[in-house]
Amino acid sequence: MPGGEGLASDVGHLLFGAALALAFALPTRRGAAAIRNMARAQSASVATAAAWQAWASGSAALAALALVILAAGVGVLPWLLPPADDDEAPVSIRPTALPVTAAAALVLLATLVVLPVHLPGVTPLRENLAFAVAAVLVALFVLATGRGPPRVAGLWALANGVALAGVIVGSPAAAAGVAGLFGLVAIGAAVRPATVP
Amino acid sequence: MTGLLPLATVLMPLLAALAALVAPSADIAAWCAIGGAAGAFALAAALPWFGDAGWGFLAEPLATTMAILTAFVGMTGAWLARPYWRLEAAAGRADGPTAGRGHALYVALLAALLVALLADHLLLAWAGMAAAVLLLVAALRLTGGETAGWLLFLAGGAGLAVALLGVFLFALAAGPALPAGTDALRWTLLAASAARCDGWLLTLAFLFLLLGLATLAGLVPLHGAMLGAEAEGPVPLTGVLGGLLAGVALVALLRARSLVASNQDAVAPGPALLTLGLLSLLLAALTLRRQGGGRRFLAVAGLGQIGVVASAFGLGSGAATFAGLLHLTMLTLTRAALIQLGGRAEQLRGRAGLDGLLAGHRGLALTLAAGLVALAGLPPFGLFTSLFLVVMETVRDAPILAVPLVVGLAACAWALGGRIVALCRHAPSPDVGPAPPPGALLPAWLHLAVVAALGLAMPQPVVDWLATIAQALR
Repeated sequence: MPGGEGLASDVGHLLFGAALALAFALPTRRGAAAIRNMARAQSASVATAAAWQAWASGSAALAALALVILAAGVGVLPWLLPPADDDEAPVSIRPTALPVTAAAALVLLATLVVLPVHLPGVTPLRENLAFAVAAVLVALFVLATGRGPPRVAGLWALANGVALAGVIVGSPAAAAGVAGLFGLVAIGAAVRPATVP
Repeated sequence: MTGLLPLATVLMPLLAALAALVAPSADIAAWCAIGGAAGAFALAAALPWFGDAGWGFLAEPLATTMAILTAFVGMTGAWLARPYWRLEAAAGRADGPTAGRGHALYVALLAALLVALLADHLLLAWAGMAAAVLLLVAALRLTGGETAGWLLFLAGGAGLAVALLGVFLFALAAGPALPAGTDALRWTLLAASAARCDGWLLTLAFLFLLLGLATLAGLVPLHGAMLGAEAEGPVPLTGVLGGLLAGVALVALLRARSLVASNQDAVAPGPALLTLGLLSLLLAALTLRRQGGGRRFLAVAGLGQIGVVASAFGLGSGAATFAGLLHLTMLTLTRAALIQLGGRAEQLRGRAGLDGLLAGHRGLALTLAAGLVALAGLPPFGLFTSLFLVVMETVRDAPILAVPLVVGLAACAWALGGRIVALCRHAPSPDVGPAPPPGALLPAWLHLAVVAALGLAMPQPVVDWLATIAQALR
């Protein structure tokens, strides 16, 4: 988000934070459908963040990015992963305390690693970058610890986290990269075996 | 026209893939693949003389060297693919359309690898690698490897996502150092502005790129999926070209390391690369003897040597980079030859492995033994030279790290030696497929002859060429 100030910046933080909060909830979900719904809600949150930044900065690239995330994360991916195929068998990843603690540690780690970033004139970058990096790390945790359907949602959440970073970059290339990544996840979701390991 | 030759190098195999896909028979598809791969090699070989940058592609020494090497392996592999699919069809493991799709996937994968190597834009290079992963997954599914394909997709997809985050962080780091409106994601622009970028963001970008691309390079700790893919699936696709993806990922990491190293505020990128490389070598050294005798053994042996390349790149000096590039060149040729031979042996013996192969198939067994000697880093092959240089540079730059390096290399060589003994002296198991005709060994002989020739008498122009690349990447 280049150079946002005041209300635009505050709302931006709020939307980035919402995406992270949803990522934080991912490892605590017990059912495959709940995890998928959480990933879809996170996509919606990231798309809203992109749309808000597009409106605040008048960027066409960010508007395109918002549309890409909305179409892929709220439209295509939920369609490719219909609720019927795994709702019958709830999937438990871990007892809640451990993943929440691990996710909190990852958020702390993300905050620490972006702390030394200092770009003059791009004030909110560091905070939003912390949100994006934390969302990516938590999604990687879900991907690494999950079994079966939660892994697809983990990859989806990972794409959401990278899309958050794409919103910060805000260039047409970033929009193309995010579109490519969601395309990759969509292909994986479409061709996944009946019983995923 | 500017940049036409790199573009044509990429388009040639892509068009051949389309032709192979619509070809009426598997044999015609095979000839399309052979023609496309040979054309790509001819065009890539002309790049150092007639190539210039343009259309979003590079024509500098590192890109052209790796493109020539990749296209050469692609060409010999395409030659191998024709009899490979014929034997698969004869054994009832593949029908005509499957073989045709296999040939089409082969040249498409070659095109994806060339895009990743020659692209000036980081995003285009990323797209090339993403396409390569998807094509490898498709190749695994072609012969019923759904589970291996899915695991590769998960690991590769996660690696690509994390690498994309690294690419975005490069853009953020370079943004303030470049004029407004400039696309910050070109290797050439990033190289020119790296010294003025935000040092910490560059460091973070490199770490995420390393974490992501290490998955594709098959480096520890994310090596499992790539090893599984190399050991399964159609040999020309997942074995020969799948092995090349590691080199493509390492070249991208080498470029990124060079960018970060040129910024005084950034944390030195070398130690992370060096650590992953040494850990990969040590893991291969510890597990190689327990890998049985088939393609998995060859894949793990290759993992150890990829670790050596990564550790050489991590050292960072011009001489170490030279040694790493030389080792990558030799390893690419040797590994492709070995995987081709391992695939042949697998068609001949099934999953029984390589043991006792000498008793019934002297030509195949002796060629395999020569390849294993080369991979163990023994003279007269070129890997001896490159390993010697890597060890010497490690002793000079980080003496304490020479201990795990030498121990790992010795353990790998010991395991490879054991496999050569088993190949020659163990009791043979019965054949389950037809013996390969002598001509089928030709590509492997060619690879090993090049590796031996470069080991015995490396031409001065080759040395100068690699030294130029290494100096530019210090």
